[in-house]
Amino acid sequence: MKGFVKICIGLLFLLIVPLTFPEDEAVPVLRIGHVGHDHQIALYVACLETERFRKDYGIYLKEVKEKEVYDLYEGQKKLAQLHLFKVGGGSRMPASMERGEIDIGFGGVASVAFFVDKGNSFKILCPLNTEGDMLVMRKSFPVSNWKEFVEQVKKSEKPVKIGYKAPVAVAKLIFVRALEEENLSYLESSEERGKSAKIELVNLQGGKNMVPCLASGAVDGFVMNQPEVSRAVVRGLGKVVCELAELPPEGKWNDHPCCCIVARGEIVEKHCDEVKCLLKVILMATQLINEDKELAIKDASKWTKISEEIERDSVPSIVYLAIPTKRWKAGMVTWIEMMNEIGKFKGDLANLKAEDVEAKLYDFSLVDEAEKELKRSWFLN
Amino acid sequence: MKHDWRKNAFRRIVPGAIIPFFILLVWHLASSGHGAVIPTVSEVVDVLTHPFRAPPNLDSKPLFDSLLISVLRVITGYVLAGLTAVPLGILMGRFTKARNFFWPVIEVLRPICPIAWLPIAIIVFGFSSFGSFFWGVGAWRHEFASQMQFAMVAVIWWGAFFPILLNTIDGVKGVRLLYIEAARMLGANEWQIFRRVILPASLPSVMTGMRVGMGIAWMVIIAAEIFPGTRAGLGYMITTAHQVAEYEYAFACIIIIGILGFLITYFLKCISDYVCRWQTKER
Repeated sequence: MKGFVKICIGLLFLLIVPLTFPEDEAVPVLRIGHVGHDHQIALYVACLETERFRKDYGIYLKEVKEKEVYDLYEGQKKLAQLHLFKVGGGSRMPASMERGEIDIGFGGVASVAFFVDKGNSFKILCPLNTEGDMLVMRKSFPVSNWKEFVEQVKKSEKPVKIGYKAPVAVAKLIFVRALEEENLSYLESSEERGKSAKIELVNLQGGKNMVPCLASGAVDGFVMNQPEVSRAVVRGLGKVVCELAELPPEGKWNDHPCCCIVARGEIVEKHCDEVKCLLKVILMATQLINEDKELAIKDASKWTKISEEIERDSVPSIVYLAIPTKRWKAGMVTWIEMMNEIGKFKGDLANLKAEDVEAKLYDFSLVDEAEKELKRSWFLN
Repeated sequence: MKHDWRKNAFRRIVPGAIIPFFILLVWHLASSGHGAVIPTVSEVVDVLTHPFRAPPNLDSKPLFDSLLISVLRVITGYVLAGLTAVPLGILMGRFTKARNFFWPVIEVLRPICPIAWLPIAIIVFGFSSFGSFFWGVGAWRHEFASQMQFAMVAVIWWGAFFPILLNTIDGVKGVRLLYIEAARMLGANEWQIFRRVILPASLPSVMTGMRVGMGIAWMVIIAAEIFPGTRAGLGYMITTAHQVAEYEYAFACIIIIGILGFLITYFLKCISDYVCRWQTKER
């Protein structure tokens, strides 16, 4: 009995000692949520290429704990500590931000916009990537481009089943709009039972169900983004029919938005220097990705643990950009207009005019400053 | 004698091995036909035989670390469930007023699946863990404590709580009045009646609840480990393997969960048999 009491006191002591010496962080801690796939390799390249960034630019992330904690340095000065959380895709990132669990998020613009529509004061600080959405069909499906696909669907007696990731996914919206342009009837598998159409859309509830559904024949193909497309291709389950950016109406989907960096309004105000420095790192990492694809592929594979073979197919098909271009902004406006057309926005973004989108959704002041400063230092082309 | 032992062992093992053998055979045939999706037996064996290796194509901690973290989460939630459900069950089983007070709430809450509470647990507890509770932003320095998220533990607690509670209530209520009256006639006070009569007599039922509760805790942890911010655990491994279509890890985790479930149930049964050994001698 005495031994037991001694053990209990010992355990209690071990628990209390750290409480009496709180581990203060001398610099601000920025909690960053990310998804963990290759759309966000700007962050992963910055985390993995510490020495290169330190020598070449003097602004860098230093690893404290692999994949979890990094110190943000500008020269010799430690500006902030970044705590990375893999929060998952879709609405999980903005939901975590809404609950105050993360300060800055790397994730899809679609889910971010829905949370802004709900009244959250999130601001998109810069884009991360565009495009990379594709139509993939099972290997035996006898088409190789959009035109052949349309003809084949028109000829087909049975509806062609096409999977998608989420109801508001950009890929699904582009595909549906293209079907309307081609006068192809479609229906959601979950509704209008008993009716028939040329295309049956199936909600795959995320990219994770793509491989089993394609392998089992539950769907004939899917519209999805990378790296799911490359995973299906490399595994020999499917083939790329076309990029969704090419779909009609022609030119409408060029540079359609995908992922972005978003922050809570108060974080931008409170830690603007630290956030600007982080954006500088992201800008330079994006430049590095575009200049050295081999390095980008290796780093993407190293961080995400997705095989190099898949990343070699996936990374070159994604457009990485951190500076908001006119085309990117136009793509955002198109997407918001489409969402309004189908009545998906009911709050702050409902019926918003193109010129008002910028004020409501973006805060590009820091990325603009970061870009100017880097260009002045000749770091950015 | 030696021959008999071998014969008996053969008789016991062979029938039990028939179904696993057929499962392996079907698996082997299925994986050779659809190699792109179903992993081969050897791929899964490779994962199982390298528990300390960081998975080369999966963003997760090694299998052993994941197993350890899952076990810790289950044990924490399960112990908390035991510590809360057993006293409450005794109270409700012994006193009608307490039973009348708690019963309606318990009957409403009991049928709700523990997983349904996960979104609410996330809202209530956020990313907070034992690590962040004790060490704040420095929680990352404490690997296991920072992986013990309150939301997950709360969901496991919920899963294990009700089977233990209901079995405890039944056990206490089911103690034969004859025993209690006999003890009272022999001069036992309320505490002595509780300690010497009610507690031992209700123990078999409590132990049954503990075993059922452990089973549910294991079922719940797998779903609970999809919690955002997690980087380890068998459930996390299964989900991540599903996301990136590396199914050998999912298969390996499922096998481990099965074996672990069997071992834990066997362990609890041994404890139950030991603490309730009087039961077999009762006439």
